[in-house]
Amino acid sequence: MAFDTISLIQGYLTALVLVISAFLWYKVKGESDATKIKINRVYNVTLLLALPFIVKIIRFIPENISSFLQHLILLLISFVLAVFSIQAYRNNIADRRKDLKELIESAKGHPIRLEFARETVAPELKKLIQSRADLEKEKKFLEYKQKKLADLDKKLKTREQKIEEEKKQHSKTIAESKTLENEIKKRESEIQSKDNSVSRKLDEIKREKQRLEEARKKQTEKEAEVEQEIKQFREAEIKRVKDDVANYRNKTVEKLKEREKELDEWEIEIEQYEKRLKDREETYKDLDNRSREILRDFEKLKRQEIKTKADTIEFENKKSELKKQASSFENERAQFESEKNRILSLDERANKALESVKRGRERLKEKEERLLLLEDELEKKNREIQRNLGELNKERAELGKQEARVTKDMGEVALDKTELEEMKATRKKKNKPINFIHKIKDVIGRVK
Amino acid sequence: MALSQTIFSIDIISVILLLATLVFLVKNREFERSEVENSMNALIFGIFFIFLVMIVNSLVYLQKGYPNVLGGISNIEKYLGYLVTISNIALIPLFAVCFLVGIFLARDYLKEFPKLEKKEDKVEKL
Repeated sequence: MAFDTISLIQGYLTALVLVISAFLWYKVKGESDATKIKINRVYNVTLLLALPFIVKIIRFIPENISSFLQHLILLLISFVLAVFSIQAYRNNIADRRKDLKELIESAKGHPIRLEFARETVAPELKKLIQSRADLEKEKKFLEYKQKKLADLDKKLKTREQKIEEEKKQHSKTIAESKTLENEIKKRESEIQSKDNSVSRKLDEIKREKQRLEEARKKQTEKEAEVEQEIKQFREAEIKRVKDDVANYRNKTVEKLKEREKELDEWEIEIEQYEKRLKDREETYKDLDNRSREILRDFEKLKRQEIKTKADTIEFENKKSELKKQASSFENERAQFESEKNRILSLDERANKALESVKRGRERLKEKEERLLLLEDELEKKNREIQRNLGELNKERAELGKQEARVTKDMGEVALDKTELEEMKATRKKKNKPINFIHKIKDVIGRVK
Repeated sequence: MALSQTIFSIDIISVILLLATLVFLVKNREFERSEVENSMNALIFGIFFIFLVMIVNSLVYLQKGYPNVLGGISNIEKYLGYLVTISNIALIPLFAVCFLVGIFLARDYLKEFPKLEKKEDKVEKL
């Protein structure tokens, strides 16, 4: 961002500086003789380089067009610059030649001409002549060298031909050698295969030898191991026997010691028995005293026995009373059992009666059910009857209506009768009974 | 793409022409007086700067028009951006300043040679 703003400012500054320099140049050109500078036209054109930078500053031109314009203007300006610079160079060179020619022509009649020729031109000429001679020498030397080179070329060509022939021969020999090499390679490969097979066999023999040696070594090792084991076994057995003997000795010594200890203990026990016997003797002495005390106690017991005998007599008496009571109780018990049996018989009867009652109840229930069914049927019949009654009432109402109609018809009939009577009366007069009969028939049909 | 390719070709031509201008300006310097040489040197420096600017522009439009040519160089667009900023910030103003200096020096030299018409006018006025 900062660089963009700086570059924008620099663009403005560049355009401004170029415009200022252009103004300045044209002012100078107006005031003074610009032709004193031979490339003044280049100056004029270089100041046109301000144009692309001015186009760059102008923002309302689209970017693509402005960039294209800038580059195009630069191309044109550079083209013009190149043309003017080349033209100026040509002009300058032409002027220089002209000046030089004028110099030479104007110096023909001058007295210093010879001196100038002696002092300046003659040494240069000498140098030039020497350089020309050197060049000729070099040319001759080069020609000589060229000839030598040509000879060498010829020799080289002949050698090359020989070399080519040798190459051909060599290629033939190479081909033969290649075939030989191939054969040698084949033989070598065969020999190598044989060598390989021989080496394999040798390897196998070596391996077998190694195996045998290893087996021998193993056998010797095993023998040594067996010997060592036997030695170890012998030593171990000897050690074991020695240990057993030592253990047996130790055990016997220990047993003897234990027996000694037991004997000591027995002695101690015997001493203890002796002590106990002594103690018991002393206790027997005490027992005499105790027996006396026991006798005293025995007398006390005898007295107590007498008391207990009296008590037993009382007890027997009470026992006999109890026996009596028990017999009476047994009698009562028998009575109770008889009553019980009677009650049980009564219970059985009652049960039977209950069963009969139950049966009766069941029968009654069945009868009730039947009655209920009959009631239902009756209700159904009642309903049918009521329905029939409704229908009958309707029929009655219809009959009433029909009766009313009949009464009406009867009224009409009565009217007709009156009419008939009147008609009879009139017919009688006129003797026309057939119409009257027809009218009666019509009335009957209506009534029906 | 096409526009950048055309601009690239224009730039290449203008670069060649500027190089030719530089060469012939250097050759022309021999035929000018020693007083004008400074001015011409400043002018040649200015054209050299614009020559560099044109090279940078041609590289930029080469990348735009033919991206495969410089595509092998890693971060080429970054470097070209740097070159563009350098040319915008330094080279173009230097080119302008060189021209200004060249014209100032030429003015100093040309002050000694006023126009003949003016002299004649002055004589007439007198």
